[in-house]
Amino acid sequence: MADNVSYGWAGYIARVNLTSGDITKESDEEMQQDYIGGMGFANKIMFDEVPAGTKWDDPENKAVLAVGPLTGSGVPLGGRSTWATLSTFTKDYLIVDCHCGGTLGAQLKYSGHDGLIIEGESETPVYILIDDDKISIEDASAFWGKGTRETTEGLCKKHGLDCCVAAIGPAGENLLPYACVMNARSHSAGAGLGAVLGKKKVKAVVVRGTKGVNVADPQMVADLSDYMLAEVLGSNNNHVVPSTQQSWAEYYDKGSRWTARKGLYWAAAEGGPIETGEPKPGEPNTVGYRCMKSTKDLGPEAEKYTVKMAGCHGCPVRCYTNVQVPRVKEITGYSSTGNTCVPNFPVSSYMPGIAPVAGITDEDGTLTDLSVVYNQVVSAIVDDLGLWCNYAQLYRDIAHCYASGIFERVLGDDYASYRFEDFFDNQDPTPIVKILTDIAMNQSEIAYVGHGPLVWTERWDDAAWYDNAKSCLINYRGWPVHHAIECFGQVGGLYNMMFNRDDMIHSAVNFQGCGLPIDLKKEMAKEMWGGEDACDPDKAYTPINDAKIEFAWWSIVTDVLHDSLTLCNWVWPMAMAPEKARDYRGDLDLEAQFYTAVTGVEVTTDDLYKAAERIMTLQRGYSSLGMTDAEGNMGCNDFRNVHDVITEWVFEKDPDLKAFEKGTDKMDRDDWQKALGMLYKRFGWDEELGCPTKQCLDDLGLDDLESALDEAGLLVDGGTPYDERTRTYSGVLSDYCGNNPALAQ
Amino acid sequence: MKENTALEHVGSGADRLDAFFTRRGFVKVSGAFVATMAALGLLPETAAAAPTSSKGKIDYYATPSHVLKINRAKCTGCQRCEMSCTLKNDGNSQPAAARIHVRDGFFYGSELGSGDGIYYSCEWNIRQCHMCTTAMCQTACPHGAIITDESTGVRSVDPEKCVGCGTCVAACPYHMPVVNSVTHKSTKCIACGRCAEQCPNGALELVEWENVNHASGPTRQENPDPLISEVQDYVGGGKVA
Ligand code: SF4
Ligand code: SF4
Ligand code: SF4
Repeated sequence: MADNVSYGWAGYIARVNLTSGDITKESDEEMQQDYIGGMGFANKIMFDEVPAGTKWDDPENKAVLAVGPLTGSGVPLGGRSTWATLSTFTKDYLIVDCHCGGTLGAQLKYSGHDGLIIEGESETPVYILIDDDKISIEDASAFWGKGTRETTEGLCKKHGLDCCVAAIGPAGENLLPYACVMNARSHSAGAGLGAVLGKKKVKAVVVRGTKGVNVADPQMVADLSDYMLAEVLGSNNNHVVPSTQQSWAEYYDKGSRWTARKGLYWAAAEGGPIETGEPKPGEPNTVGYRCMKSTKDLGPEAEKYTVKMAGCHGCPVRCYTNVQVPRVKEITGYSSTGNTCVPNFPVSSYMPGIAPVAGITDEDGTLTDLSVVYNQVVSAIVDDLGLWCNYAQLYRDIAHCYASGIFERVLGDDYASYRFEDFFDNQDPTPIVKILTDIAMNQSEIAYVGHGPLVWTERWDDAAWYDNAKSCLINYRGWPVHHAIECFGQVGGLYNMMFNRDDMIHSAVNFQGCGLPIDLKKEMAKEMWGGEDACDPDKAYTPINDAKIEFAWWSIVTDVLHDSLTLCNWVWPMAMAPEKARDYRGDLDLEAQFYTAVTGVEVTTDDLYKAAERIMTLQRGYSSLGMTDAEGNMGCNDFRNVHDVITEWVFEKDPDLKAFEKGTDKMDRDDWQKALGMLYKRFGWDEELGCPTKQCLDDLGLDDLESALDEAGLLVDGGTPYDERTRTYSGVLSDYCGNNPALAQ
Repeated sequence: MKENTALEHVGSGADRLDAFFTRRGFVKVSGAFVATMAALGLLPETAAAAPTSSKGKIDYYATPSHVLKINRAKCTGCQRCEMSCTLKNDGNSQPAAARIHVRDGFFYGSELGSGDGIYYSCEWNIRQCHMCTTAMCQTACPHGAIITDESTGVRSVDPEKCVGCGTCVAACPYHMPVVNSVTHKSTKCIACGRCAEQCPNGALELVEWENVNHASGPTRQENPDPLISEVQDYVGGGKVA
């Protein structure tokens, strides 16, 4: 009967129609090979089912959650999931991916589903309950109006403490474009997904899964995991050297997220402080101490509040802060807080450069105890309100609107009630409760800052903000930098243009921050991307070249691959390793080897990269169908001039320096345009327009997209054939991977 | 606080299941012998009360060779132990059928109101098999499906005999066995140690048998925070400063 067993994938996607109340289940077998899962499945379903031109708040919009073959399979860092829906806050409401960790993805898989399609609209508040095969739409009126914490608690009380609850808070209910969906206290799926669910009146998705993920070769999954933990995996962001000098380590780097050291403790641990110590490569049982994230993000004063780290399901790199700060509890009611990303350090990292916050640093610039309180108060508030930040844009915009007088100008009589001076100048964190709550409630003027810069800069007449380097806005369609030009110049700049939101790509920034010396990085770059000149030292950039384009392409496809498999791209791919014995080389074939071990289907790294390219190209083509041109007509394939337009400040910053001079990451206009064309070519897209070509659609087997583009008059000829534009990645690092158990076979 | 049970440990906890024999080894005894021992008062009440269930071949006093020792303060909730356990012992990844449990306490601890879990104290229990010398999972099984490994003294479920009735789950003071929702067979820990190998925080250790009833850590906070659902709707929702 082995024929009937689905390995890796559960094999089914659930569909819940809120208008009709119909609940059905369908096979995803046909999508598996070409679209992998996660982002690939979700994008394919959106393309197939949500017509271009749909608005995010139309009932025709859908919210599609999906996981991939590796989710919950035991593969390290396989706990993530991807939703796709239409953007609430960027131009033209085009498709966006909303990634999230926590336990949602794994639970969904264990329930026997690779995905959940939420369609239609309910008239009354509901939640969707998935208890293995039993799926129902339940009344959520008792939870409407409540925060994500109380909602989660109530639903767990009702359905079992082992359920994963993914809930919206007041922000989603009130259709704030910056609303997210929270699970496991502080894991969010952003990009406006909360508002989409709010419009559909879906308060939560509750999932319990007791089934298993079938694994074709469980021994190989175990052996590869042991190998990976012992010698390939680093710390958070795959930083592979410690942040302080340690006797075992050849290198160290102050910026590394491998922050464990002797004398640094989880000081508030039950039963007494637990030392993070000096976890070394080759010690699988100390991997989870490497990343001491609380003090890294919040400063030394956070140590005394640190209970432990945590993170997503199945991940041995524990990057989530867990602190208990009494003052935070006093202000918010919540004793336990912490995150790994922006909500861990929203005030100290994003506001002071725009509006100084008194008392959060001492004379030497070290973060103070007050900074812990400021940051964690915000963390507790936004998670409970289900309020997303557009990768910190919310905090930069609040600081800017205060400092530049915009708030005073537009908020009228309400202005005084927000007590901005107390927050910024008088060391009083409490005003932020009302500020953020009013934004989430989406009823007063201040809430427009939570509609995104596309809306508020127009409403409050501040278009110039886009061109101010301090805004960090990188694209006029409404999203900010996510490791952009400061990350290998053009490489980061390019991948920041690709999606309809911030990119969330970490493949390149991980390499940048990994802590290895630049000369070694250059050797590695040559092996991986075909040239030492793929990477330059920070702020000493050189003009665009083929290796940089390859590096940018690889950064994009690996990210898309991970969001589809699903693996965490905040740490994967394994481009480098902490083990000196392997010359710090990583292992780029692990994704393919794990895929084969889990699913039983033989694939190579190049096969997977090609599938990721297919998914990226699908999103690109689907976007062009709904994109409007300068005249406002829908259907536009001029990505170069309409979509991939980088903000002016990247060319104007550091007026005393020229692009490519030491000391700046300033870009050069001609070089940038050339870089765009080269990247388009690498993807097989039109070198001028940046849209998919007939050639690349044929190469990737995207027939449906091809006919849709043809029908819309957006299909172009040309494009470089696949074999002429691609490189081989399989095995490029295998000389260093002598202990890889899959190679021993 | 609700009535204390063997499951419940506050603070350092109390040893509620004293091991009767702590010597290493394995004693195969007949039902008659058990009856005599019980009559002489030499058996713990729990064991004496449990009827022999495998036709005179009950192995009451097997002291297993190994046991998992846990430290919940070190646990970061990754749940790799659960996946690793089933990958090794069932050939798939199925946390709900694992022989070690983290997932059910991760959010709220041993019960809502315990003050534990990621939403409250950031502590939760790692529930592991205590490798009882008097294994009530075994004594309770009406089908004699829980057998003792002759070389290690470890009890394991014989899937051929198990009918999935769940009696072992109810009988175990820690509710450790799990009836797999897919195979409908019970599973329990066999001290293979795979979970400990993959624990990134060294929260688990496979050690030579010792009484671990003390070592499991508290199962609730002494002064738990009030439940959020009882005190506030959302942050800043009017009920907090
Ligand atoms: S020791 Fe083995 S059987 Fe017991 S919980 Fe760990 S992995 Fe499972
Ligand atoms: S399953 Fe329960 S009763 Fe059986 S040996 Fe383990 S802890 Fe004891
Ligand atoms: S593997 Fe270790 S850290 Fe992870 S959940 Fe299990 S006991 Fe906790």
